[in-house]
Amino acid sequence: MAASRKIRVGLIGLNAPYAGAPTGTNWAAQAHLPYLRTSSKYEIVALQNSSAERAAKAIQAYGFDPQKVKAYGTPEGR
Amino acid sequence: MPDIANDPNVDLVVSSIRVDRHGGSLIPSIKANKDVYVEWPIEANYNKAKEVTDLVKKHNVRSVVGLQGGYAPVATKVRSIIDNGDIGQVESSTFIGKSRGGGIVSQHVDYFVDRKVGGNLFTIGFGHAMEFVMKGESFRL
Repeated sequence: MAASRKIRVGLIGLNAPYAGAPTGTNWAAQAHLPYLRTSSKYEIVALQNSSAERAAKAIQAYGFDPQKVKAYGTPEGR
Repeated sequence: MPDIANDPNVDLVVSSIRVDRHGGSLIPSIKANKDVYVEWPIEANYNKAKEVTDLVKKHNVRSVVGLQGGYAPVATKVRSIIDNGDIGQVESSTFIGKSRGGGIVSQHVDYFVDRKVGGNLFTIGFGHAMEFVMKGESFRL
């Protein structure tokens, strides 16, 4: 039986840890990330944050391979 | 402009951001026929949540709402105790829950006190608690 491909996930809201005035509860990092990192069924292929720069920071901060995980911002650039 | 909705390599989009931004973050992906996962509450109010659920139905995508409380072992255990008749016929019940809160709100969740954002200790905490109480059951997988 051929191995089936993992479900490819785009995760919205994974913020890189940062000093200053963080907002939100960082739920994506607490609740979604630990599972998705080690899952045999899912793999993260994209992050979306308020800007592509912030997504790129998160990719770096969480040790993702930037060749494998794309960084997206929101159209409004919020 | 490339974005997550038109990325052909993305199957499932998971939105774990502030409640009043859930719809905006997922609607393009639903329209692109991607499956979606949205945290509870779905959106800031009923009408906005219905906009999302209507679109999910229209595009016939698979969707998950992040209400996981019914799967907690305590919830499934309580339900099986009731279903098995172990404590007889339950006529009434009382649920007491506690959420973080009080006279001071952390700055990083200052939007909790802005009612129109729709994500706050009530909609989040009470909503999850009700899921836990009402849906705790022995799921047949």
